[in-house]
Amino acid sequence: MKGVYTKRVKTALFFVIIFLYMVFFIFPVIWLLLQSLTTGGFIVSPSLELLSNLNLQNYENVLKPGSKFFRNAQNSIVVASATTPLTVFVGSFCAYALARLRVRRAQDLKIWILSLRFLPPIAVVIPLFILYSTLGLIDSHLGLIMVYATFNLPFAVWLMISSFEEIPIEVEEAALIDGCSTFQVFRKIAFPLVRGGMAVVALFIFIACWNEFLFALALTEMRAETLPRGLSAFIGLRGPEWGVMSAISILMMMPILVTAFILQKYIVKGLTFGAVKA
Amino acid sequence: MELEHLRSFGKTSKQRKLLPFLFVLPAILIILSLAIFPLGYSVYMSFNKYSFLLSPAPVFIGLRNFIEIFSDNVFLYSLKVTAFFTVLSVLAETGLGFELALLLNREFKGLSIVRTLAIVPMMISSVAAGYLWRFMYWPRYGLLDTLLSLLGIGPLPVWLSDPETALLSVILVDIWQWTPFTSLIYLAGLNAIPREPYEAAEIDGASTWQTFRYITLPLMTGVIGVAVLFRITDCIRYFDQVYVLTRGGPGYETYTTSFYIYRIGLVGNFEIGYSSAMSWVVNFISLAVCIILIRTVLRPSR
Repeated sequence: MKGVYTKRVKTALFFVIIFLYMVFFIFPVIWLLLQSLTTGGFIVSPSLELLSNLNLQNYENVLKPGSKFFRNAQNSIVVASATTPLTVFVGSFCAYALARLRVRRAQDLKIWILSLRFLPPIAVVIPLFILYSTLGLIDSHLGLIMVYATFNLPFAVWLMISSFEEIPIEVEEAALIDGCSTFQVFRKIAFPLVRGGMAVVALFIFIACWNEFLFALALTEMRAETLPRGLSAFIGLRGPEWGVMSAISILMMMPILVTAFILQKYIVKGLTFGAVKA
Repeated sequence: MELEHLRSFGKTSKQRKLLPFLFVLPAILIILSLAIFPLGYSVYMSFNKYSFLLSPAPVFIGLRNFIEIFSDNVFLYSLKVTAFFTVLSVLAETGLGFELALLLNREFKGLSIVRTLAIVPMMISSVAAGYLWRFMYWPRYGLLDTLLSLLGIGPLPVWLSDPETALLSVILVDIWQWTPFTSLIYLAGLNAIPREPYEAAEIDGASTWQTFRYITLPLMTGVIGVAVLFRITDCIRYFDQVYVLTRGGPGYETYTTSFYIYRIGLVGNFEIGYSSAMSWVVNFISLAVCIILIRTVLRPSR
């Protein structure tokens, strides 16, 4: 009987620990949600009274036609959805060549590209600010897209290399023997086989662009301002309006959360970075 | 290497050389124009005195910026803040993330809900996360203070404005947001470990701890290395939440190096020369840490 007892205690302990993790991760978000559903313009302490007065007023204010939120959201959508396919495709071509084709000094090139991932953005943002000022790219979609593409490229290349390497080589060899050209092998065989990996890479790059702050802060002003930058500068007419800011935060995370939930299964699979070698 | 025949299959030798080149060319062009050029420019600037607003043109001053940096107390303090921040965050995220990954790496009712909820923090923009935690830390009315005083704990510090607790409070936000990320990487790693060693261990009658110590841990070294590498480099560049939560305050208690460089180079007088020099010091530190990590942790597993 003792064995059953310890097993039960263990299971209970297991669920308690999981529960504590979830409280830690989720409670702040629920708190933010509650904050966004209360009006009054100031931080409201948690109470039962609070729960009976929930309303959508903050969301109505944020979603008024022609509001700043819409302009920022539009910029974020344009920038993120232009950067994502650009980076994924350029990254996939590069990754395929590095994984499968004969590239001179491939190893050096690989390390060179990856090392960019570890460069603090603050180191490039200042010279980029000068460069963009000269080229008239400050506060433009194109400017942000180019920066985001550059700094997400290493991540895309890295993950795509491990995706391509997971394809059994025999498949590609068979296609070559059947008379496909190298490019046809890439386009018709390898490319379709890594679609799952590409979806994960695309999701992560989209999130990175959607949430990025430092480059947006330094390189945009009014016209191309993205959501995080708009939120960081948000001050209402009567000082900071916490309820409205919470509503914007919630609206900002919605599209990301929904997509992430849909792709959840693939996310775990795609993240080994080729680092498990038995 | 294993693909010698696939590689040599192209029709003519010219095509064989051209195609791989065309495949990598766009990536190289993008990186050259937007990373290498600015980096080169900032090397040049780091040897100049140049303020975007005040000086008409850069003036070459040799190594003087670098000499000044090492007697700049705020910069040195910001290095200390960043180092403390990095060590504490990465340790906590590695430990908690690994523990969570182990917990989630088994079947139980509600697993998929738990897994889904666990990745919520990392999907939130750092700016939104910053605000969210500002609400949490709000003196007296915030959730944290309300809960703690319900439990009879007090007197409570003003989390983000007290020099004793400000940095720790900011670190907690980072742990909250990025533990899910390390945990995901570990979970992916655990899923990719082959089954055979575990079966062998079971036959040999190994204990749970022995299995973990001699099978799981060695096989996961590479994965842990990757996660730590990501987190260390992200901590070194840490900026967003400091900007939202504390603006470096109180005093210089939460001035990370990135935030200080931003304050010098991109607001006020736009001291381009001096801030470029500082950013190169950070680059070297970041690079050195990466090289050490890659040499010691990642290489042996490959």
